[in-house]
Amino acid sequence: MNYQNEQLREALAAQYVLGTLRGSARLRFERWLNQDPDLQNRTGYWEQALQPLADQVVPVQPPSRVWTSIQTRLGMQASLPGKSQATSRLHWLRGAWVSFGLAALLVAVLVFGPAEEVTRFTPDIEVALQNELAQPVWKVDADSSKDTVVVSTVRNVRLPDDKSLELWLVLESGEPPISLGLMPTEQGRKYVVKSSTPLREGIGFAVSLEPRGGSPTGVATGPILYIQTYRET
Amino acid sequence: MLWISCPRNFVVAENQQLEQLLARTALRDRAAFQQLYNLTSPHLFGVALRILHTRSLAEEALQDAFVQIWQKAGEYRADKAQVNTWMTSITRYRALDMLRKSARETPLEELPDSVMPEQQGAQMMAAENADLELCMEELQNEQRECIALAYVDGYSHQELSDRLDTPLGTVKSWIRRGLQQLKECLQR
Repeated sequence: MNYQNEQLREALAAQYVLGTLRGSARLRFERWLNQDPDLQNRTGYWEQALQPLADQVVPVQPPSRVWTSIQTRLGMQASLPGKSQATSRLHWLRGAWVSFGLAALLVAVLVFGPAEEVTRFTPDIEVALQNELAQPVWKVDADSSKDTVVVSTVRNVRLPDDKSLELWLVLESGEPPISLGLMPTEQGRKYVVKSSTPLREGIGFAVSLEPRGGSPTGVATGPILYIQTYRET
Repeated sequence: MLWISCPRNFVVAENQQLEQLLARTALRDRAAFQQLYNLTSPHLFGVALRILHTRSLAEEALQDAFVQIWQKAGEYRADKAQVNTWMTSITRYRALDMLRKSARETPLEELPDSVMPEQQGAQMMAAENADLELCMEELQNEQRECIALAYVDGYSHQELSDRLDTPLGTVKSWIRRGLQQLKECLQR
């Protein structure tokens, strides 16, 4: 490939950063990048320019084993002064309850069926989230064999423009809940999400009120408006 | 309690603070490295998860990224890039490398529409990022969607073509022209 053509250099740098430069072309570009300050500048420009897209991604707290592995790989002692990970189950949640003093608005209907090994989406967890007038707002169906959750909006939800509702998987381990993304608010809208954490490791779903776009920290920052377990804790 | 006083997202963390931590990391200060990890890992893990869709792979990418960050801390140049951009790039490129080696497990059609970046609330962007937001607005919808899906979710040209049910050549041209227009707009 001709790396002298300026337009081509610019396009390759941009697509390298974007991620659409793939395969052998990507590897070839990386080799050139190491020895070519002009390509480094162009790549740096695009990294900075597109960074706001990465800044919008909802953060997720990694499990503590990642830090342990990093220390091990770098030959560091694992006894560095660190924060204790020991926390009672649902401690985060009690904190949220106490600090926001909110009562649950929720009446849930729960159906727990047998999990089957089928290829179609077959919900074995069904939860209805209702408002304070006992009107159903969302139906949350989950297929724990496929770790897939489908949220259906039964009625319109009115929210201030600067707020979003975020869905969380509450974990059995007591670790902070895992974000499953933002709840749809328009009647008829469905939201399908594949959980990166097995649903069997979860004990329930929670919905929190967050700044628009979701929690900026990766853990619920706003009041928990709805919570429903699907397993005894 | 670990998570209430939890690592802030580095969108809001002071860049200056991160620079100091990275400089101390370059001097092999392990406590600084751990603090850097605490401050930035939730965001970087989120970024890796969006690209890889699989928790175990994202954990591996995050590990690899921080091993590199420790090793390359001395090469960081503050006049070339902000710390969060430098760290995000290391993580994204590692995740993209892993994506190449392992086919993604999640069928693309199961990906949630409602976590598409443009719907995720541009309000989260800091004021200094408003330029990209405005320039993204100027693009055609298809160009904007392709660029966001490629950058945030690691979609290849082919995956975009499949998802949008559009010929490969058209997708490539949307992206190429979209990036050109983005740069023209940003440099105005």
